[in-house]
Amino acid sequence: MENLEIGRVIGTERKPNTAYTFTFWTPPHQRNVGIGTLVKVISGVTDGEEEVTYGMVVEAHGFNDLESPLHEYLAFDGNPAEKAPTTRPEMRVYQANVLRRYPEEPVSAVPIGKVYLADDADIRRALRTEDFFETLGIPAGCYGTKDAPLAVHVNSEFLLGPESGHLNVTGTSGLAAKTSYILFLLQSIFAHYKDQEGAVGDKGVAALLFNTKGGDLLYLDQRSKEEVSSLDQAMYAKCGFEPGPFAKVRYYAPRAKDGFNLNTVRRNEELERDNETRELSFGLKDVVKHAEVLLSRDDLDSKADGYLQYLSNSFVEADKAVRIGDRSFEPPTTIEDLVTIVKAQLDEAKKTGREIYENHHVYTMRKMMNRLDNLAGRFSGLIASGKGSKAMGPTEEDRFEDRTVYVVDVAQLGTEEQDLVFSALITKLRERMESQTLGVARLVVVVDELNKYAPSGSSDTYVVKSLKEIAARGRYLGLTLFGAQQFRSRVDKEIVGNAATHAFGHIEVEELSQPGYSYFTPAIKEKLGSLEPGEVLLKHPFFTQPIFLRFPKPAVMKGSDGMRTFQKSKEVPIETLIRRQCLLRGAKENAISDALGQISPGVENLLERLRNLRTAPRNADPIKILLDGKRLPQARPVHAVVAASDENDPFESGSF
Amino acid sequence: MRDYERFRSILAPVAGVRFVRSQPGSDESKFRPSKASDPVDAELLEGEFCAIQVKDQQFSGFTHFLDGAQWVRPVAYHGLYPILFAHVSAALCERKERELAGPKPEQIRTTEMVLAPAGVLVRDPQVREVEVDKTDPLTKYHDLIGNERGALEKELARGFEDGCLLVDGGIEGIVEDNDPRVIVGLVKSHDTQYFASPERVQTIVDLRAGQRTSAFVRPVQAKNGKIATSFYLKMREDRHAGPFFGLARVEVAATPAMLGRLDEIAAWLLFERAPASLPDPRYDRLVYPIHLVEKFLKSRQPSEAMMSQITRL
Repeated sequence: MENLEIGRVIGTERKPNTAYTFTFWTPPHQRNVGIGTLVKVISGVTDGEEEVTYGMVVEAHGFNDLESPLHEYLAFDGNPAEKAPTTRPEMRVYQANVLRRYPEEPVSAVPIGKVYLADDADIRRALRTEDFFETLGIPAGCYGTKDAPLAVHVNSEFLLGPESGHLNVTGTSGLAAKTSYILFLLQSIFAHYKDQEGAVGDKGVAALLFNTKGGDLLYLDQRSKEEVSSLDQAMYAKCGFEPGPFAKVRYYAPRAKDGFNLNTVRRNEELERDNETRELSFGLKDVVKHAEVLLSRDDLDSKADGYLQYLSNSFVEADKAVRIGDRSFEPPTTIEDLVTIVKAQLDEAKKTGREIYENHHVYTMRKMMNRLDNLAGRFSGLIASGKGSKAMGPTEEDRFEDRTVYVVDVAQLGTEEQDLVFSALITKLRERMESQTLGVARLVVVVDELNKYAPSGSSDTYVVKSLKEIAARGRYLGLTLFGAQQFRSRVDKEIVGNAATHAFGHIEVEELSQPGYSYFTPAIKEKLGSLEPGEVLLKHPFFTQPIFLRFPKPAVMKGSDGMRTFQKSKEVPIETLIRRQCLLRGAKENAISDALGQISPGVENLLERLRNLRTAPRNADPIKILLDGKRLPQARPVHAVVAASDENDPFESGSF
Repeated sequence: MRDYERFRSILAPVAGVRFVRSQPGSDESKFRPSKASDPVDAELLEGEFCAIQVKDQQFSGFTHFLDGAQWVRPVAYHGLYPILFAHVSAALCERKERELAGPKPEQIRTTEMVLAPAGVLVRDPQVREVEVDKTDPLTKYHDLIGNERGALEKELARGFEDGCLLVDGGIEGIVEDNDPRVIVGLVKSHDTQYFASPERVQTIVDLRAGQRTSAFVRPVQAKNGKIATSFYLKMREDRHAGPFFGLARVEVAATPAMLGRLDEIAAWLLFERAPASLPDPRYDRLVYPIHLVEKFLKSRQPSEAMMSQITRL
């Protein structure tokens, strides 16, 4: 970028320059200056060093010498078509906010000086990135004209932690403001992230995303059908990585109603062959822990909550068999098991003629039994049920892998089911974060629709608490939240406030009128209201003022293209799914047929084997799993057994 | 409420009296009578003295504009006589594609000087000594400043060659005999009257916007001066304003070539009415490019604060 002299600083008595803002004029033909432009003021030399002030244009005014519109009207006899031999001289006056100054002390009013467009080195100095852009820099977009973009870096330790962390993105849905920017930034992070020097423990970075609508995030491993434009190509080159899909992506989806096909638009044989979708399901512990998400407030009153806690402590979390009356029960692993236990308690209460059992009223118990019984039906695709069922999903795997994107597809689920997935996964991530078992040094969790999951002014739900916890402490423990929403003003302030980096895409005027945007000048707001796809305003701890950046379109397949290219296949019989799983693991067709012939054809039996295959490593012997599923670690089956007599049993003695 | 109606009743019946709106800054507000340059009417050049309708034309051939400015402040006193600081300047600006550019360095002249009564200050190139008149000490000062300004304007005009130049004020001392250049003077003040007969004065007073008078000879006014061809032009009209509202006098070189171009030049001037020079009170006669040249010059004048470098007060 050529270092051009474009104007001069002015300060009038009515509008003097301050330490943080200054005014300068340019001739109207100076087309390179606008809202967001970075400029440099050279005002003198002190001790052989130039006195330089860097600023960002935040307001623009145009003037000619007309004092009153009436004068113009009179001059042209009220006829706008009338020509004049002389045009009025015109000028532009810009207000700029100070980004940085040299020398940095004293912090005094910006002096009168000549104004230049900032060049590459100036921009790095102005944004304070010159010291880290080569070591800790993550390109977050490009500044400058379309002809000469310049990568602007954010500091990875301030984006991902531990110094500060988290990103919050605001933008109108459907205008390539939120998801596109997050995908670009993730690719940039994957390309440039470096572990801290001398760091011990887990290394690398991964990301967990939720696909909440259509197929937006389901083709991240597929190359975009659109050609990369020359501008995007230039921006990618400046940002230091090649346009393309993500190299490693793992997809997760809940089961369909049939209990074995997966409920995702990514259900396509060709896609599955290259990169299968894994099953996502939750166990009983998750259901009990997140009962507040699954049950209505009316259902989960204090008595019901107390009873549920009792069931959780006494049965779900127990590690040994428990007795009810004269029967003994293994710790339950499915909802059906838990319902059986509640039934047994009710039977016991009835048998003894009591209305209270273990301090819980039978009405409460009966209500909870009904509600729990219903859950298995309402959340059939999500809750593990049946013999050998277990929780499955990214958080159930040993470790997150470096430079891998984990996508959980909840687009086909209802709101309540999405809430369960979201709250359960966030909670589990928090638990793993606290136990430091994430497997990577940094895990980026991308949560869209924060308006929905963490609305401002709402009571602290489990989800809100988890998000707050991650926002407050996550950066120390390796968990970084990339939150996004359409209405920033309607998101919990603590969660937004804990984000160190903020990106703003196109935002609607109604939202911009909220008090949270009052620190932007009217011109910045106007620009935010008219940002094009691929443009954001970025606020980062190193930047004194937020700056406007362009970013290239992520070169991954769009959801709509993906759904057209890889059409969702119909549900297939369970045998076909088993056969595919075996083929994925290198088994021969004949061997698979032989093995299938040897096992009982019942769905329950096949389901257990399918589950084992789905959770088995890629290099495991599929035929062995098929024929000997029981050898693999499984949830313990529930058996209602009659307890052996125990002469020391206090219950038997009737002393209780 | 006072009864001013009485005054109206005294004035209204008198023939030839026309009421005008009181406007601060207008010629009427100075209530200074114009003086006739000669007890007889000026010599006519286009037959009978009458109003001529100028043909409307959406074009102006003026390419250059010349104006001068002065800025004067008393900075000291010697006895009862003031010592003045004067900044006098003149500029010639060119208009290209409807844009008036600021003057090039060689097209601007500036003189800064101190004016003091004779014998008070040591001799210095920037000191002008003035033989003050005890009855009217300021007149000499003003004459000297005006002469300096005129000299600067003339110096710039002498260097003008190509194009058509519009000068703010008369062209005496700017054009020579048989001068082939197109130099037009636009005189806004009417301190001097060139007609004594009531009919011809009435012709001037009755001019409607877009009309000019027949041309006449503007006689020599200054030592070594030249005669000029002149006519009155009504640039704007306001029936509630005084007779000078919108009335300019135009001067061109007294050559047959220029005499044949008077309608054309009048049309150019009428086209220059937009944009208006408002809020300048002289906007009715002050064409916008001249107004801009004046602005250029004023932007270069010293500020009051700069005077403190002289006075240290």
